[in-house]
Formats: sequence, structure tokens, C-alpha cells
Amino acid sequence: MSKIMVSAQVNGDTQQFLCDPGASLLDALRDELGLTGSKEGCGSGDCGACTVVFDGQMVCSCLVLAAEAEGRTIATIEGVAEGSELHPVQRKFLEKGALQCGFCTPGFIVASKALLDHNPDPSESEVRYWLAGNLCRCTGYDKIVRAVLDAAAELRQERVSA
Amino acid sequence: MNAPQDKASFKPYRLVGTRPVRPDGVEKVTGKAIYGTDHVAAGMLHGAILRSPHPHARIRSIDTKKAEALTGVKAVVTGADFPNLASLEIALGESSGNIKTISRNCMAHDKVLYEGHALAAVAATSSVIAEEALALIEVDYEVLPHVLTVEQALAPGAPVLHDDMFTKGLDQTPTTPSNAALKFTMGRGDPDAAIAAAHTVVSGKFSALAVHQGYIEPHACVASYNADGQVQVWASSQGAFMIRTLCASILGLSQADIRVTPLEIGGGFGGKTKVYLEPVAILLSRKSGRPVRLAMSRADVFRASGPAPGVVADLTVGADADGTITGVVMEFKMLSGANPGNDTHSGAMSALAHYNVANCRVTGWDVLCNSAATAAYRAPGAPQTIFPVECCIDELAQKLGIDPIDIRLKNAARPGDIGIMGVPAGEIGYVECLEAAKAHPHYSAPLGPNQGRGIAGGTWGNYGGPSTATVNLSEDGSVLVTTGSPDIGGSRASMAIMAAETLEIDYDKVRVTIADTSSIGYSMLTGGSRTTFATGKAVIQACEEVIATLRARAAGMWNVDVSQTEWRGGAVHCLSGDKAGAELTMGAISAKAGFSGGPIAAEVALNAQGYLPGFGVHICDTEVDPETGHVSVIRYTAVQDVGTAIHPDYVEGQMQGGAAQGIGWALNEGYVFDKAGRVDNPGFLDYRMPVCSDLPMIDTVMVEKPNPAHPFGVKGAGEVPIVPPLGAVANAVSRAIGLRLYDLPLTPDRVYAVMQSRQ
Amino acid sequence: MALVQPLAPFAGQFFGGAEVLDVAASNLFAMVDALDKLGPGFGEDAVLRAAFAVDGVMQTDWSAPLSPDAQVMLFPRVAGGLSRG
Repeated sequence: MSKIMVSAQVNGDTQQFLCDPGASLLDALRDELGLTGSKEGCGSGDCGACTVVFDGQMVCSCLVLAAEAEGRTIATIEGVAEGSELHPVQRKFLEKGALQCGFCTPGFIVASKALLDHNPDPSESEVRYWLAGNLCRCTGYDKIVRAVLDAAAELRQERVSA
Repeated sequence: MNAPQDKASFKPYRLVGTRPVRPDGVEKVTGKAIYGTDHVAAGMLHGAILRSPHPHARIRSIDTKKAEALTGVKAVVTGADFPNLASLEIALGESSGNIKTISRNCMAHDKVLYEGHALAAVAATSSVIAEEALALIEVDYEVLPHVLTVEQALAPGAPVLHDDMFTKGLDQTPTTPSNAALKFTMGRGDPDAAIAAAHTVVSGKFSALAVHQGYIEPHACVASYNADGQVQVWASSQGAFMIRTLCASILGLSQADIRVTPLEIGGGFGGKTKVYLEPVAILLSRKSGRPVRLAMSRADVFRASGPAPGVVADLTVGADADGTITGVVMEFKMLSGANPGNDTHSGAMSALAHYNVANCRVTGWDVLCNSAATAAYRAPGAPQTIFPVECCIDELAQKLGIDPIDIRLKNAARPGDIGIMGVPAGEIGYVECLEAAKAHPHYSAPLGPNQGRGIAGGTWGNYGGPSTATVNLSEDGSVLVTTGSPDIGGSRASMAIMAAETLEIDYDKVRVTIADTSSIGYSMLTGGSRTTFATGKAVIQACEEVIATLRARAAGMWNVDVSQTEWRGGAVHCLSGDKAGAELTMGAISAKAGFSGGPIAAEVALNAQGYLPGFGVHICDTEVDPETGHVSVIRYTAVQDVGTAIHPDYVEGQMQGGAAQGIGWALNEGYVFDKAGRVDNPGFLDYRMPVCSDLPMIDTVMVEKPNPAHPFGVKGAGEVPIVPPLGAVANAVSRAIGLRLYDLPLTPDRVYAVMQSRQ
Repeated sequence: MALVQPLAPFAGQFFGGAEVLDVAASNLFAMVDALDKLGPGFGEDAVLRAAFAVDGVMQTDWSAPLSPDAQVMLFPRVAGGLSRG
């Protein structure tokens, strides 16, 4: 079976990689591009540990074929921080102790940032439903929700002062 | 709601009890941290495992020739490649295990005992080829009848999993093999007479299903076997030393030849205290001469790893009119899966450990069936046995018209009380937890229609055990702490806090590394809520030794007796002589180490004594939909005696995470099997763990009653919080609908059926 | 002479159901040896399964000295397992 050449924008860089026709975008990110921050917890779109933003849409990268990435724009956990400057969502996860094992954390941060990018002032309930596709077994979600609400408040403040 | 119990007033600590950012945090929020499947070795092959489609079958033959002939396949192994071990029990940390059983759980020899039991493995140049090769392996099975419930397993004439297993603990040694591995009875007094004479008696038959630990990271490892017999393993687990011990025993290797590097672990909860893949990967690597990665799929994780045992339990409790419990008789059967389990003893010993009961008898049975061999899960055995106890106490409170916290206070174990094992309790804090729960605003908040409030307590024994830590001073005086205890939930942060507190330096001056098994002395695995207690003790003692060395070095530099020096504020101070008042910082002494006794370091290896059990009380409000029986948890508060909280964020996190797991066990989770004995819900869609929108905020109250046997008062906090939720949720639902519930999980159909039974 | 109280399953399995045994031993290693003579096979089993409390405190260091009038409880070791995150 011959491989498919794919060209895509990944975290702002033009990337080319070869993939099997059946390979998922998650496999390509992890195995071809070495971006192992996106995790495979289930491979069936149930846990959200592989969450990336695909042409502006939050998706489970395990449910996207790698070949579908041709010409698309992909944002992964590795692109959330600006250089060595953490995104407020990342910083609040640390300050609020919103991770224990940290395995689900990349997916939660990508999903939380996606939420705040389109809803700067979510209610607790909106945060909980937005993140309902991301499983965390360690925290009981309490500190995650608080971190996201705090990050939202900080980002709103930044927008006001900007 | 932590303020009243924080006791900040009497805590003289600078750092203990503060909430700094964990040292490994940035790597984990940026995706850089390397977990089980992230590690890559040069020239690595990809492995795949063939698993049984049958829950019980004899393997007549396995033909791997076609798989071996496939281009790209570099090695195939089956049970025949494993050393044929005699049945041998070896000591493993807190318990023991039979090395033959453990080996055959990694790879079946003559029989498969559950759907998903591994029976062959392939290593190939790609995972696609490895999967193709699996399809070419021909297995001739003689399918055997299977058993999946206690009733089936113990029925006369039931198919027996192990024909060399005879029930232990019976009065007379049995002559025929059985699926009951063990009967264990403990107790005191005359419970039958006490119950016969009781003012009020409640009883019930309870059950809970087997549940999975549900860590999000599937098991994964890479192994590399070299021609000289030296092996490297990279794996995510709760104990790199556990992997070393088991791989050496299973494969007949020297432990010093196996170097296990702990990768970051994506959750464990007890489920990563066993080996599944590592011995197989080592054999594949030995055959192929190349490093081999093995990883489980999520379905593999559900079918072949974990779970915690399901239980059926009969319980009778007798009490006086004032609520004093006079007698308890309990008999429970744990469903341990394909191999003898470890939860029967701990379940029996935990069941009544939070109460003072003069007359009691607890009998536990360890029963095998054709599902995956169970693994530890957070306070293993305790949730299953304490759930019935807490439900019966709730019913007793209702019958006697006593407040559910008051009845628990009346019977609560207190320091000095002699427990069921005859050992007096130490500085335990169950009473303080009950009082804190009663004072919490949640407890007196009004309830709406269809709502109910449940209370439940619980306990777990915790552990100490062997740990090693080293503390090395860098040339600039910054500090490197090294341990062998995998960091599952923030223990690097607690080690750094305890080291910096002891050394009286800044938190950021301490960096913590979890070393591989060839770079640090032995530590028991991260489990039993032992790490902050036991490994923490080793870190603190190593810091104290470093302080002693620094004082001796400074005394030499000042030419005074060491008694004329003092450690204060992270520096040595001179108390007398012409250098009186002088100060030498760690950096200043370290820079001169080459002119005195050499590098400054300490290693402490200890067997930590003096651990104490933890206790918790949870308050749960539920609302039941009268149309569907669906239960929503609308408010939840967890109160726990944690000893001293070193890093409160991560202690609260343990309480919240444990509560969420317990709520899942109570409401949604459980193994479901089809008629053929196959797991019917081996994925997160059908095995329904709580998601973010299922839960409210989980309020925490840390009751800090210090452990006198730890320098900072640590008790261990990780396991207790999964114990009370089963009873708390069941009691809340029972009070909401006015009817008792006995069988977990409380799925809408079950709750609805009970509600209908009233009409 | 230290007093040892063996609980199930050890009492029945090795010591004929005895509730209390009187054993001269300077530490728990010596006690396990002495108990092995009373109940052959106990020594091997103890390494795998036994836990001791001495004067009401769990003791996993078998080399710690025993006072002559120590009260020792013998019971099965409990497997913890997990815990954290």
C-alpha cells in the first residue's frame, strides 16, 4: 500500500509528511511530526485527550484521517504557548492544581482555549458542557473548571486593558 | 470551606501547607512530558498482542508459521517462550503474588481464562504489519463453559478455572478444586447473641459490580534486550522496581541486569501495580534483537487489565435504642476475576474499622470467574465492604430517629480504641471529620422536591514501607532530590516542599527527579497512600544528614567544634570564637567541597514505620427524576482527616478525584458481559465514567490531625476518598425516593424499578 | 516471654486454633523462627503474608528489639495498592 504525501499548516509551520491511507491525524502528529503532546486515550473519540483545532474546529484527531489534513490548518497543544510564554489557560491550570497525572491535560487545555476563543465569558455550566467530551479520571473536574473560569476572567481583563 | 480546619495558627511552617506550582507542571501543560506511548527508542519495532476471543478455553495448539513468514515480522512469541515456572509465591510490597500466575496472566500457556487473555505476540517494522501478522496466527481452541457471577462460580459442578486451586481457610482441607480461592473470617465477641438481643436490627443483601480504574493512559512500554543479557525497559507504572522484580522473576534474569526507567504515568489508581506487557516486550526484543514497543488499546485495557472486584454482601446490624451498635455479622464474596485476588483480607479488615463494635464477625470469600484478573483500585476492597455498612447504619438512624452523623459519632472509632484486629487506634481523626461534616453549611442546607441527602463514612489503613531518597548539593548550593517513587499526582511538589522546609531554603532551589532503577536504591511502588509519608520521610532524613554535613564542613572552615554551629535560614551560623556571627551559605560551603570532604550528598534508605489510617465523611445531595429514575448529584462535600496537607491543592485533588470515582461506581460504572462471556462495554462510550457535566463542584474540608510519626504529620490521603461515596450516594438516593437501594450502580432503570415497586 | 496473639488464618492454619502463644524472642525474626517450630511452615508463609503489631503499633521492621513482656498481634498483611492520581 503506497503512502500519501500530506502538506498542512501545523502550529503556524508548513509541514509535510507521509502517511498510510488509514492513519489517523493523531498518528501522523505523533509518529510523523513528533508532536506527542496529543495523547491517545481511546482511539474512538470518547476521551478527548487528542483534541486539536482543525481549521478552527475543535476535533478529536483520532477521528480525522491524516490524509484529510491536506491544505488544512491544525493547532495542537505544542502551539498553545507563545514561545516560552504560557497561555493564561496553561498558567491557571498550574496555579489551581488542575492536573494530577497530566495525561488528559493537553486535550483539556486545547479544548478550554477553543472555548474561550469563541466565548470569553462562559458560565460554570457552559464550561462543564463544553468540556464534557474530555475525560479526566484524577481531578473530579473541580479544579479544571475553576482554572478555566479564572483564565476567562483574566483574558477578559486583558482585553479591557488592551 | 477549608479555613476552620486549616489550623494555620499552630502551623509554624514556611512552605508546608502552601500551594506552589509543581516542578513538573510546565512540561505537562505544554505537551512536552513523555508518557508510556511517547517514548521512542532507535530502531524500535512495534508489537501487537493476540488476545483470546473466548472467556474460557483450552489452547490445543497455536501455529505461528504464517505470521513469522510475513515480511516485516521480526519476532513472534507465545507462552512456550516463557520459562515454565513452578507455582511460587513471592513477596511483593504489601502483599504477595504467585509468580506462575502472574507470568501466565501476561501470556497464557495451556488455557485462556478470560476474553482478552494474551496468548501470542508479534513484533514487526510497523504496527500495521504487526496487526496483519496477528490475523495469520492460527489457534485451535477447545471452548469451555464459563462463569461470570458468584452464583455461577460457586454452583455445584461449575467449570473450574484452576484445577490446582483448593479453597484456603476452610476448617477441613478440601479434596476437590474450586473457584473459591479463600475464606477468611475475623471478629470478636458474640455477634449472634448481640443481634438476637438488639433493640433494632437492620439487614440487607448488597451488591456492586466490578469497575475499572479508568486511567486515561493505556498501558505501554518499550523494552530493549541486549546480547549480553542486559535489558532496558521504559514504562509508565506505579513502580519501576515492581516491574524489575516481576520481569526478573518471570524471565529468570538478574535484577541488576534490568534497568527500568519510569516514564510519566497517565493515571494508575492501583491498576498500574502489575505487569502485563513488559515481560512480553522483553522476549520480543530478545528474539528480534531490537527495541520493541507494546501498548494496549482502550478495549485491551478494559478486557485485560484492572478491574476492581465486584461484590455481593449480606449484612446484619443490631443496635440499642440509643443507636449504639451492639452486633454485626457480615459475609461478603469478592469476584476477583481469573486469579486469586488481594481484596478479601483488606475488605474484611476495613469493613468495620471506623466503628467500635464489641461483637462482630466478618467473613470474606475470594471467588474466581472468567473475567480479567483484578488489580488494586484505590483502597482496594474497602469501598465494597464499607458501602453495605454505611447503608445499614443509615437505615438504623432512620428507624431509631437519630441524626445520621450523630449515630456515627456514637459508634466512631477513637484514638486508643481497640480495633477488630486487637490493635489500639493511634491519633486517628474520624470523630473530628464527623464533627466538621455536621458543622458544614452543606449539612443544614434545605433540600428541594425529589432530593435527598446521604451521609457515609469510611477509612483506609494507608502504608509506610521501604523507600530510598538521595539529596545532592550542586556546586552552587542548589539542591537535587532523587527518589524512586513515580509521581502520579503531584508528589514531586510535596517532596520539594518537604526538602525546602527542612533545609529552610526556597522551594525553587530544590529540584526533584524520579530516577530509574539503576540510579537509586529500592522503593516500594507508589501505592497504599505511602509516597508522601514514606518517601517523604526518606527525603527529610536525607536533608537532615546534608545539614549535619554542612555544619561539619563549616565548623572545619571556621576551625570550631560543630557544636558551635547552628543551621538557620538555609545557612550555617558560627556561634563562638573569632568567627562568631559569621554565616556560610550552602553555595559557599559547596563551592569549597573540593577543599574539604568532597561532594555533599546523603542517601537514606528506610522502612517507614508509624503510618496511620485515614478517615473520611462525605455528604451527597442527589435529585431523582421521578419520570426516568435518573439520578443527578447536585451538591457534594468531602471531609477527610489527611494528617498534615503538604501541598493542599493536591490533597484536595485526591479527595475530589476519589469522590468522583466513587460517584461513578455508585451511579454509572460497571462491567457488562454478553451471553458469550465477552465484555460488552469495553470503551468509554459504553463504560460510562463521570464527565465534567455530570458533576457539581466537590467541596473539600481537610481535617488536619497530624501523624506524630512523621516530621510534618503526614498520614496519606489518596485512597480514603473513594470509600465513602458508594454509601453516600446510595443513602442520598434512598432518602430522595423513600426506599432502600441495595445494588450498584444506581442506573436509571434500576432506580425506576425500585420506585415502581412502591406502587 | 512475649505474648503472641495469632489471628485467622494463621491461628487455625499453623497453631491449632490457639488464641495466645507464649514465645521467647528478642525480635520478630526470632519470633518467626520460634513460631515456625510450633507450626512448621509458618516461617515461609510469614514472609509472604504476615503482619505484626507490637504493643499496639504496626511493626514492619522485624529486627527491632522486643521487650520481654511485649504483646504481639499476628494477622494477614493487607495489600494497598493504589493510590494517587
